Amino acid sequence: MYLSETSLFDIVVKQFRFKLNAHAAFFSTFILLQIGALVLAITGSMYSISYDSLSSIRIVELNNTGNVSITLFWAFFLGVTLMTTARQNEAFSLVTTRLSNHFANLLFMLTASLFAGTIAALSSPVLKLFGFLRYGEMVISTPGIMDEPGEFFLRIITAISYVLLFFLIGYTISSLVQVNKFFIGIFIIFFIVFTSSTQNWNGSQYLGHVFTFFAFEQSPLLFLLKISGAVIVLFTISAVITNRLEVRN
Amino acid sequence: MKFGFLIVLVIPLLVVLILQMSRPKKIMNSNTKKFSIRISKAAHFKISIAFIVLLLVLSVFGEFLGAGKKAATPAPKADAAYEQLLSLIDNQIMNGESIDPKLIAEKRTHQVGDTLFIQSKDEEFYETATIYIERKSGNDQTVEEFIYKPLLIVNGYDFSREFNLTLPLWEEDKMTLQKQKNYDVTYTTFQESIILNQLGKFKSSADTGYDSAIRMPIIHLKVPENLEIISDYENQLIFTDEFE
Repeated sequence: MYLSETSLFDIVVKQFRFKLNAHAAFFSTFILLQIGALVLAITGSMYSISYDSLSSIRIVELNNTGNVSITLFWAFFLGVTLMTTARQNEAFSLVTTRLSNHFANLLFMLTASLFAGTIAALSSPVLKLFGFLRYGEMVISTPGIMDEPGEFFLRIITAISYVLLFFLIGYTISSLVQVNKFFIGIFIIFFIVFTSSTQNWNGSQYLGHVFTFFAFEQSPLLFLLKISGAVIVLFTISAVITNRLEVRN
Repeated sequence: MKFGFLIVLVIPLLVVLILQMSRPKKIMNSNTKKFSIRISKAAHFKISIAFIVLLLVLSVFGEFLGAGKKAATPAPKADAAYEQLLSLIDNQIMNGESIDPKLIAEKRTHQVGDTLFIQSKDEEFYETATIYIERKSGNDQTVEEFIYKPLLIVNGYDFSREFNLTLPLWEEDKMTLQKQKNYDVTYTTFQESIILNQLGKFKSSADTGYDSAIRMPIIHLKVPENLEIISDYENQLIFTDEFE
């Protein structure tokens, strides 16, 4: 019996606040990256087709793929950072358990996904506005918030889901590396094997299967189930394999 | 150019603004005389919230005020079999087959004497346009002129209507090819990131490369059997009867 008893929930919330403060700079960095991506996106990809020696047509294509890619990369990187030795040792400044630390991390990743996913989806109407200001007229292939509000919210949900998935991928990789540094070598070998192709081997097709599993899903419900399933599996792996590391490294 | 200047101006201003917002605290080290600027945690969150609010305001402005007024009409989708159209007219002229009237831009008839002079004010026109000359049976002193539409297809979209052909000028026995107008068309498109649109009804195109198909203007002249044709650029003229 103790004078003050705290529940797991209280510890997780306290730790979550601590993590939010500790990683505050990552959010500002993310915003700077988004501004940079927006500037690059406004210039667009451009190519010109000459009709004859006098006339030509210039095609300018704008899209927010850069913003989304940077968001996913940021999530992956932050996911890796959350499980580094230094970050894990920070948890010892609070009365915690490994499990509460993982739950606090998950809560942090959910919050960060909400933040980053919303910004990634909002980059689209902002880019459209700058596109109009710069080029005057633009052909828009997908409807905006006014025409199809449901589509816009689906885009936000998709962005948040992917950001969370990339967080967990980074988090799990980092967890495995924490258990044994040997995993660094294994991941490098995996990367080479699954991105190379020879006469008898096409590694990218296996990664392609993983990609199509998520990216080709058309049903929102099934997509959310797939993402949730992957997130739960990755989180469980991370929690189980690092649960044994009880002492400060 | 103006836009580039704006970016160069805006980015440093933005950096200065962020630093000001964060109330820089200079930590002076008397030994090294170096200092570092620390942004408080509260400032990081203020920046984040301010950015989201800014994006929301710009989104509302972009979606509600700008998009509806300035959205351009997309270029028409090209005929699925457009690749066949590239050589279809040439083949049909050479084989003496009938050509789809939809492909004709202009059809005219001209009265001529015994000789037809073909000249150009624009030498390059000869290099780009193809002129077929077909001899009719009989001598009705009439030249039938068929000008076929040019074709410019980029990534499956038909931009042909953007380029209007300046028709040849006919004066008595003289046909003068005019200098063509200069067209510099910019076609701007916006599409969502492919993965963000995967659940929606409106999918983004996954094409990363581009292809184009161009057919230069074709002029087909049906001339009387005995008409003498004189041109400075005779090598550019194709007499269909020479290939029979």
